[in-house]
Amino acid sequence: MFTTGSKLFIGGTVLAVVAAIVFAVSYDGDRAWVAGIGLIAAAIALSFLMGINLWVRDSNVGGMQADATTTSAAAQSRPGNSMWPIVGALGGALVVIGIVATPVVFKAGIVVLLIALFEWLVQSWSERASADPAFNASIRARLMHPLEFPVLGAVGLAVIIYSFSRIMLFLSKEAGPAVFVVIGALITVGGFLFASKATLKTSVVAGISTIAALGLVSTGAVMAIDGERDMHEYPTVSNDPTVCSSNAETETDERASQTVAAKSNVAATVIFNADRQLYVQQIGTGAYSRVATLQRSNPSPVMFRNLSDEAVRLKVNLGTFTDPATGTVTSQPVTCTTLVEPDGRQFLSLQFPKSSLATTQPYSFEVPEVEGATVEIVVP
Amino acid sequence: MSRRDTRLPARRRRTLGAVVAGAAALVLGGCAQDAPQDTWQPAGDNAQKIHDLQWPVFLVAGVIGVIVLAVVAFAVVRFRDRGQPMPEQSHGKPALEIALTILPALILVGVGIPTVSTVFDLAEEADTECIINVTGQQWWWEYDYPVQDGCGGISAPIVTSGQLVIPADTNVLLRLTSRDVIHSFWIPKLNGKKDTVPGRVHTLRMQADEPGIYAGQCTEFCGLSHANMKMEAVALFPADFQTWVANQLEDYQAPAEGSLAAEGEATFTANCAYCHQVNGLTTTAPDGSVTPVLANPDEFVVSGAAPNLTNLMTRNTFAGATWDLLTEECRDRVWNAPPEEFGERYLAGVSADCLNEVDLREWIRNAPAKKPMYATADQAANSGGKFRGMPALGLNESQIDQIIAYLLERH
Amino acid sequence: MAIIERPSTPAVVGAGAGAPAVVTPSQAYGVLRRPVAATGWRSWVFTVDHKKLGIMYGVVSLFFFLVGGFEALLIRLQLAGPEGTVLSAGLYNEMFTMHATTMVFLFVMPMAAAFANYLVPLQIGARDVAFPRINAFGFWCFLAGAIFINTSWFLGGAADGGWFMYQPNANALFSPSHGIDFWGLGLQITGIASLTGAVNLIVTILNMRAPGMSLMKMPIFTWMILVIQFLLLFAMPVITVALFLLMFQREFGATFFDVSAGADPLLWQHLFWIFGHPEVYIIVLPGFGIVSEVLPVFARKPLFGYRFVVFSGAAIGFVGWGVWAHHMFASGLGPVSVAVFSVATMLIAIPTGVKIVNWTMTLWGGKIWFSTAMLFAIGLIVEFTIGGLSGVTHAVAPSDTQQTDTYYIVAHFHYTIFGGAVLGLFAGFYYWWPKIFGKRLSESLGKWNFWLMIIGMNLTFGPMHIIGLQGQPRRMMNWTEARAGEGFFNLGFWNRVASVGSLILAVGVAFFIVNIWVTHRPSSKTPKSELDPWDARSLEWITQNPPKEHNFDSIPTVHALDEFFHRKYEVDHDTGEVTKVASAEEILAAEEAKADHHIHLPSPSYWPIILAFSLPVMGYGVIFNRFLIVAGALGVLLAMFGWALEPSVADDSDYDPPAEGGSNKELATIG
Repeated sequence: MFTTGSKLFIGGTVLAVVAAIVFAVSYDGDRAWVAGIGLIAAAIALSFLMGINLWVRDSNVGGMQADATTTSAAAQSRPGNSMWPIVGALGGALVVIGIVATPVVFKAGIVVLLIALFEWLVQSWSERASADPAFNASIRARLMHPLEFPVLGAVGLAVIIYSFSRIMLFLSKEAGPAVFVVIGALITVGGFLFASKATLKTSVVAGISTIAALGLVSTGAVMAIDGERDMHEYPTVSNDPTVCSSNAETETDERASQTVAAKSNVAATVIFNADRQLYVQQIGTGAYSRVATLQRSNPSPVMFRNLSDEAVRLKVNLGTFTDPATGTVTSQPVTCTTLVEPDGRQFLSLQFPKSSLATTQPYSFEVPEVEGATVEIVVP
Repeated sequence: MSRRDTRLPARRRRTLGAVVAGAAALVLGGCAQDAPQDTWQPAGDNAQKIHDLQWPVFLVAGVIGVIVLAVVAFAVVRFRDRGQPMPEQSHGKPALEIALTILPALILVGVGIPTVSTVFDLAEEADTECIINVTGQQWWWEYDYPVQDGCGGISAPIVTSGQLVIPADTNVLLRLTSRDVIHSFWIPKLNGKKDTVPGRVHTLRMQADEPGIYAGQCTEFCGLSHANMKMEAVALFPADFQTWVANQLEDYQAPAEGSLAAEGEATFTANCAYCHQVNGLTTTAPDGSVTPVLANPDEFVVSGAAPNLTNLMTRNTFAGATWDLLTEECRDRVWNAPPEEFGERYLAGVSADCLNEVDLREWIRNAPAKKPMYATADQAANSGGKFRGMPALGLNESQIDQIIAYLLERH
Repeated sequence: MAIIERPSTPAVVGAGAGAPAVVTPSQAYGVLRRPVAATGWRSWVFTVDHKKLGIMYGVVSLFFFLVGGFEALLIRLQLAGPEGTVLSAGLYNEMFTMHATTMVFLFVMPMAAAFANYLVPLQIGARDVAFPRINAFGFWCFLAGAIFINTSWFLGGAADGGWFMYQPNANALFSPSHGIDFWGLGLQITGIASLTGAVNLIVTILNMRAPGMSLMKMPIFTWMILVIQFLLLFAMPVITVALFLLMFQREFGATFFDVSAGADPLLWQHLFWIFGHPEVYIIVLPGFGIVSEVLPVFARKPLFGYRFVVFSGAAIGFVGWGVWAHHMFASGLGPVSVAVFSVATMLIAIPTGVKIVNWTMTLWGGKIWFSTAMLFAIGLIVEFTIGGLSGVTHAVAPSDTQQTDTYYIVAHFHYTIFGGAVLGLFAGFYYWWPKIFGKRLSESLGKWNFWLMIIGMNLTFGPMHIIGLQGQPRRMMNWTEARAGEGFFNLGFWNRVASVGSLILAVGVAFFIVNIWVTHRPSSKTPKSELDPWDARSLEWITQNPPKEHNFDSIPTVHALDEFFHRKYEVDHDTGEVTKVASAEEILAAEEAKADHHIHLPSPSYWPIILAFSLPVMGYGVIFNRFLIVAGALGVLLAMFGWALEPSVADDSDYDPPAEGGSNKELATIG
């Protein structure tokens, strides 16, 4: 009735259910449901696997033959070599170390332990399936390879990609592309050579690939420990009135203007000129003007250019409104660019939901701490 | 002065081209009487440039087409099975193949060079004399005229919709953008189309040789009422355009005390002014303080805008230029006016006699029933309670009478 | 005692002509008992035979052709008069969106896949495709996706954003129904069919050709299919990514195209058209391949400039990647981009022109037999030429700004797609019908079919040139008298003509359905087709009609392009005289005499259909209830596991006749 494999999973299911019940009764933390769901999910998964095993009769054509179990399999226990005891021990060690050291190692240990347990179970089951070791190996492979290969492949790829990303993040911005090109070229050349030399021994190819992968992973590990290069990550736009009202050095981001929409088609270019005056240029007129007209209620793309020889920022006053019913006055927060270096530029996207008529203090662009450097914004 | 000098040769070239183009049009088909959006009847420089480029291409394509079809027809008739022996099993003649590959390549070089130069010509912005901002939203266009020295001088911003009024014989540059989805601005007789994309400002040149009304249509699919998003460009002689500008900037004139229109003003303020701005409209509080009435469409409409109705009756259309404000008879009088008289007739605006009250009344009564929009309460639930278009306001007939009387004075 | 059985007796197969060549796999060596039915619905549902899958592709796409045509008729009905009221604005938008989606993704592409599936292995002398189960999986994905998309009609409305789904109009804010979610997820599922099919056919064509068939001796149809599969291979990932972005934007509030988050809606247009333009060639090249087969057969001379046709096809495939922005001339790219793409677009006219020249020159000097297939092929040359030339007029970018998004474009692409792709497919129907179904379709009904379709299409799409140049934009739910104009070119008249034309076109298509019925109805007197009804030229005719399950008793060795023709005829190289030396029956008999033994075909499987139909369950989950995702995912997991555990070919032992009792019987009770 029940096959060997399904018995195994029945046991697992029962264990998980019991654990879930025990856990639910005994534990009273506020995050209890997380672990509870995990155990219930495990029970469902195990019972699902049990169902499959039952359904497919352990993938064993002769599974129902009584003599198969009495004359051969169980009676002739001939366990082969197994790596899972030592992997399991490693997992246990990691768990212990993790308890003392850091949670990451603890979690890794649990994962290793579970993998070892599962593989061990499947291996023992398969070794008892028949008296024919070759067949036993083949059914283990048939069951486990569809799991093992994708998982190992994904893990391997993830490790390599992660290592590579650590290397790229460690290198300076200038060296990065060069290294990228060199490694890419090496891989291409290597692949080409392997492909064109069909007579090359498999062991040679595997050896070279392993050395390359190990090199990549170890370099990545070293560089990960050493840390990433210093990267400037600052907000491009500030809404802090104290920041916006001075040209004090807080941060600089030379790439602030590189949002997608900034590359073309701006509604207005606001220019802080060498004469320390602020001007605006809009499409259709080459002229510098002191009044900008921006449409209402749509995101208006605006470019700020600093043509002076000092680092300044552009501040936008977004108006002050009075509620006619209550008479309360609300000031929209100002917005401003980061400090833009001489000859620098930055992009802003502005939206004025109400017309200029509604604001008691006019909308305007200004450069803080520079007398008279303002441009009025008209929103019809 | 200089403008007129530079235009003369262009005109002559155009007359010359028109003869050939006319002949070509007869052959190829594409020219009709009175089709308002005909792409083959340019009425301005830019459309003319496109036309000068396209008709030879149509001609060449047509000739090639006729040749190919004739050869196929000949082959089909000549080489039909009449019991002749099996033909020679020839796999082709490389020399002929190469010749027939190079020939179309040469023709395409001939087409490509003027194409590229026209592309850059039409992107020129340096000769702009007049700037107008055009903003698309579901499902109407807003036109605003920033303060500028060009256009005969505009001293205060003008916001209008329904009809784009431009001075004739002047290089106008439209700055196009959108408040919600992508639309496309197209007045076929004046220029090709250009999409309006939120977050981007595109430019489109406009120039009309003669005064008149030029029809257009949104050509980028923009949702439910895409078919009802029309536009009309109105070209006026520069002097007439001055008059129009002055008219738009006139101070608000409150309706006479006690008139139906005065009741309309109150009804309008209470029901319409949430979204529709009328410049100069004020409200007097019980304590006698006067405050301007400011529309806040951003609080009620997804696009954050509703047409400015300050000078509604100077326009001939409403609701995204879908319906005429003029009765059919009065409309024809304006549309078919000779160029010299056009300005006068257009500037007369909409009088009580000429008002197309039927459509306007239906619109005010229940707009979503007249034009498909997402403007009912449950449809608005999806967009945070904001409408996409004008909702039904639940006004009774006498309120509608009042509003129409009030609007009739918005000249 | 052995647990598993090993082959005890060699399978007896293919013993001489007439004997059953293959014993159907009887028992599974795998997880489940494998499906074994050789007849009945099970033999279709679980099949991995490329011919059965090809026929199913054909039947389903033909059904969707009728669906898409019905949608088109409703559109034309709405536009027959001013202020049409047949459809509401919302329904009209759904209708034209689904018309395009159905015709492109659910008719032309899968119909091309039908031809490719059925004919490519036959044309290259293979017994099946390289990955038969993946082939089955592809078909079921297509069907599952197609059904999924169309269920949106009953679940709150179909997609209403146009088949191009421009952002931001396709956002949840502007299109609140679930239609676009169905559309995006459904195309994602049908996309799997295209992508797996592409890999499958590329591997098949490159690796499984008959001995002696070098690439330059390969039939031209197979060549075009190869080009298309490469286009699919590179285009499908782009639309897949785009659809994922769309789904994340609609379902999970992502901001890939959101202006207020600093993004640009034009990004969507670039993504869509980088897929969309190669897609145009994906649609039209199968038709080109088919007429390049049909024209030589009925002109009785080889394809003129075979190499030029091959290379121009490949050139179209390459250049097709560099012209996507010509769909965006009006979207504000700036003059430099517009100029570059304008010129690139003109370039693509050259290889296209080469094809038309070669087809015309194939007719020249021939001995033309006006079969229905030939009529459709000649019709394609004529109609596609018109479409191609109108294409040149809007490769001229400034001119395109007047024409894009008007009916002129609708006219243009219907002349290329209906005139190029659909007429080609119909030529293929008539030409290969006896090969596939063993009977010829009626030629007289076929002529009705052809002429009504040609008249119908020209009446429908011809006036659209005028309507478009008169300034009527596309995608408008109605047109008004006020803007219709007067005189000869007025919109009203020509809109009515187009609507009448669409009815004639529909009648023409109906004749095709009638023709199938008349030929195949139980009381039909249509005789079985001759072995070589058209005096054909290529390899697929060196087998029976319809082919046996294993295609060829022995794989023919290829010596020349047009192998079959050269086996039938001897050409005197000096005089050019052609003499018949063998009949088709003699050639087939010679091949059958050396039949292979022990032919083992890939075994049927349950897993492809289970896997494919688990995907729409996940799709419904994304839209309605996240728990359904889990249910669908379990199905996917189960099917993948089952698939991985099942050998692709049943074990040799399974080719034995079923054993009496014993373990086999035991196994049979499990499944």
